[in-house]
Amino acid sequence: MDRNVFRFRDVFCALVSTNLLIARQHIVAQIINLYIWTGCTLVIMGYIMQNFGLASNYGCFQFASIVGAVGLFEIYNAAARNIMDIDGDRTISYYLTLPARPATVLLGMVCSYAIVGLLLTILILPLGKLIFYNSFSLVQVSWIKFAITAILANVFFGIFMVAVTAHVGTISKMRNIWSRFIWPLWVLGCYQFSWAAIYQLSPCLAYFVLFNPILFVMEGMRGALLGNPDCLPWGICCAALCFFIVIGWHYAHYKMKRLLDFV
Amino acid sequence: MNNVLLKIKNIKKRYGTKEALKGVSFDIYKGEVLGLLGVNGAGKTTLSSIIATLHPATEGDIECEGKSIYADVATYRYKIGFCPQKPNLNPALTLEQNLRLSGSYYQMTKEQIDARLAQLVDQFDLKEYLHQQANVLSGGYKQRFMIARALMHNPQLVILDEPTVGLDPHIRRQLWQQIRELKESGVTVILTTHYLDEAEQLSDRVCVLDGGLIKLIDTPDKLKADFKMNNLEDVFIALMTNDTVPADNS
Repeated sequence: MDRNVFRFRDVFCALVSTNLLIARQHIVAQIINLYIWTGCTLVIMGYIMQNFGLASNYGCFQFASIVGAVGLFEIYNAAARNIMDIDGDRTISYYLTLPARPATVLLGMVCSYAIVGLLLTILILPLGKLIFYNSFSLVQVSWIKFAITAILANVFFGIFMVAVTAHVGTISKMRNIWSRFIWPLWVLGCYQFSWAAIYQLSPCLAYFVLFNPILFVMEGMRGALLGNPDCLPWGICCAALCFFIVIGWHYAHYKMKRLLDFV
Repeated sequence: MNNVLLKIKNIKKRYGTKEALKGVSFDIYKGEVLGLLGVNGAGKTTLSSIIATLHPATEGDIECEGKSIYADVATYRYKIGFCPQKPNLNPALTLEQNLRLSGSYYQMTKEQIDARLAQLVDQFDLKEYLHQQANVLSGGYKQRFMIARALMHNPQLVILDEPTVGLDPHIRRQLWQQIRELKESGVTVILTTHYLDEAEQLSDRVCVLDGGLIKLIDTPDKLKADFKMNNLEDVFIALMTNDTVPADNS
């Protein structure tokens, strides 16, 4: 049994290395794309939209949401790559015959996704500081809370990516990834507004939104970066994310087993 | 016989209501080349992927050296190398990276990987394409790399699922020679193939599957003698066109 634990660890580390080796080929392009997208959004939300009545601190509010959602934006590409592999070369079949449990292979996918997501999350911070400069004070940032939230968020996004891959399954259904999974969770996940704002509007809707895991990423990240007192308590956000990680993992594993019929 | 490597015991596989394997049992001996033959849909690929532990059996068991492989799948997987019908080298990596990483998945040290890589590159004549990516390769080279990857960790048993399908005749012959060399080095080979001449040339025994069941299993010479035919192709056609099986094979 102990021997297998070490074997699984070694296979896991080798799989993560493989995935990171592949991710390294695209990372510069990913960073450029992220900077363009985020830069444009922040300039519009932080400066231009103020002429239409948006609050002066909305840019920073939006920036904290973007930092939390960086891992979410990459899900479409990663899930699409996995689906094309499953419908095409099936390199995953090779990994599923390695001397480890299939869960090790899936965990390797989650972990490498989370590492890349975490890197992008950290790299986006200087851009926000550059654009908002004095409006975004680094003194108010709780770095420990930021690190924990970023890790939990990106692990969750990694699991979400595997679950979406398994749920969609074939290239012909790939168009569903964005419209049926990422988009509704994203826009209803308090990306552009706070949970307190929905609660003021409709408590019923606010309680319904609590089923959306993205909400806890957004509120947790805003709590960590802005120290916003209107956010949901940071500890609750982390606990909820841990809960969704466990649930999401079991779902992703179950759906992958059904899709790939592994041992 | 006491040199049984694998004992396939009443393996069944269902996909929904379709039964791909209906209870397959036979032994695989150490050091032999076993040819798995059958028409399309006979269950060859299903059986080889179950032996490779890519997919689970719905019922039945496989024993390796007396122990169920499902009791410790990881240990069993160290003993096998699987080369599926469709090449699944990682297209984002160079072929050298594919082979090196394959060694690292099996806990090989860097020195072991270097030595084994050099040996396989020489054996399969891979040097020219080592730094290329998989998508630039011809079918023949893809198959060579696939077999080399399956052999990277020195497995006792190699499962080759239609390794020569779609290849030019001279490339097929080269792969035949490499499969013979595997047998000479003591590796047990399960060879799934459509080509009867290939099975006749390479196999110590052939197992004919039909509709998810074993129709017969024996040496090519014995089958030709029993059916009073000159080659395995004629035996196969006779077997598939009528249900008569010689008495001592039934």
